[in-house]
Amino acid sequence: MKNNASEDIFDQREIDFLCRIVFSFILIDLIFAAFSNTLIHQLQVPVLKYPYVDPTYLLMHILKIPQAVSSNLLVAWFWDVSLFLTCIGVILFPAKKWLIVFFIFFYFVYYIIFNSYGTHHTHSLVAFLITPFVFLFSKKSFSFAWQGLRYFLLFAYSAAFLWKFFRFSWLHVHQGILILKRNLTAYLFYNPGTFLSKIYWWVLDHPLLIEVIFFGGFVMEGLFLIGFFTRKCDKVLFVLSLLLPVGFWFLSDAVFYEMLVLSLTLLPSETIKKFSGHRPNTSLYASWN
Amino acid sequence: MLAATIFSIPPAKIYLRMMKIERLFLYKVYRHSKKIFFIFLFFTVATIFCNLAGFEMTPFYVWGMYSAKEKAVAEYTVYKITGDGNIIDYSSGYFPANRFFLTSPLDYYADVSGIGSDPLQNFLRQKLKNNYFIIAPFEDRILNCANNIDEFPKWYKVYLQKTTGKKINNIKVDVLNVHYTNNNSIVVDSTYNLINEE
Repeated sequence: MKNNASEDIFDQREIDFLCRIVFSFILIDLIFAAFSNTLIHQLQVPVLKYPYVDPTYLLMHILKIPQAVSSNLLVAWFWDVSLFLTCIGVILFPAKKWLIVFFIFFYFVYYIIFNSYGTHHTHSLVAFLITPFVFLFSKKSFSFAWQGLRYFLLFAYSAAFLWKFFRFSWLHVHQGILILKRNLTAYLFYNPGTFLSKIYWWVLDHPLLIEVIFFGGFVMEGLFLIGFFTRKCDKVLFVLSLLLPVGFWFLSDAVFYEMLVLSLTLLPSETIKKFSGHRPNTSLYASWN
Repeated sequence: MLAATIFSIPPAKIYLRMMKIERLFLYKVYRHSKKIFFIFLFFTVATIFCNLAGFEMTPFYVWGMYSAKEKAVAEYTVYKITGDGNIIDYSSGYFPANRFFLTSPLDYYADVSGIGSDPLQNFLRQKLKNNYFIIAPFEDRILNCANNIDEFPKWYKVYLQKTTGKKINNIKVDVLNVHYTNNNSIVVDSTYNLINEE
């Protein structure tokens, strides 16, 4: 885990800017959740739970926390309102760390409820659960936390590559087609004539193309390993991190747009400084080196 | 551009860089703050351990991302959800998270309704083996009992009403086993009723 580029030193204004960007992203997702009927009070007191073998989920259910929050409409409303208020609060006052702590607490329980009662432990919300933690670090330590988050993103895609590599699924015949059929059969069954369906039918007629898409995604994931050794390719990895969720959506109807918030860590610090309206602080760079 | 960048870093150069400990991110963190270093180290080690063990423990995630070999199957499952006689197309027109909550719990219900108990119990017994006694006193909190399973159709009806924004008196969920034909269509082979809730 090395890095040969100049270290990022962010000042408070730039940290606040990043914090506002991240929490605005989260707020938009919470609004989507409201339209998706997946806020806790909208789940209508779900009955089937699925903690699986994850000790964190098991502990939360043993403590009856997901049950207590989701089974009482008043508590569920309180939780949802608190999620929105703390998120908006952080956007307005990014330096108030206690607001971030409260947000993480409310979001963690929401995350457990979402996956437990969705009866599938999806990773889509992980980015929103992990990213807020970096804003709890002090100004002096923030750059390290931000870089740590970059490594988290690199690890996620690199691990996906390595899992495919060592499970030999990249050599598995028709892996791409089988993923597509498993996830999109219902859509093609009910909507056989839409524009998107016609694209799917066309690619199903050209199975090699689907395999190329799957293999291309596999290679793209593998390229994230480079990020552990150098930051020279970060711009390319940034583009790949935008393309991969599109590939997941097309091939498996899995929406991972939440991962895009982690892509911010691949942007050069100069870009962040530029968009935050600040010029690089040369004195800080000097003191760093 | 990518190729040019990759080839500008020969393997030997990467190796030499690896030897320079002062360039290591974790070393820099160590120099900055030992407390933060140990937090990062713990997170890194725990994540690598969980990945090597193939065992996920939030927040130490295992990022498989469709890495398991897909099995070729003769038939796929499609749900036919009917509310007061009208078919509800759950596959489009809803946000992804909404579709997730319309289908994923239904998949789990289809699995558990046939056996009347939570298959997670056997799975946990297999995984934990002699350590199962640790969670045995909490079975009622982590497993779905027969009552939970029986209540599911009622919950699904209420959630479907919330999703569609319409009052629904009767819902019916049929499981359709389908297969792909060579001429770009999907044909229903067999069907059975999963939920019929008045």
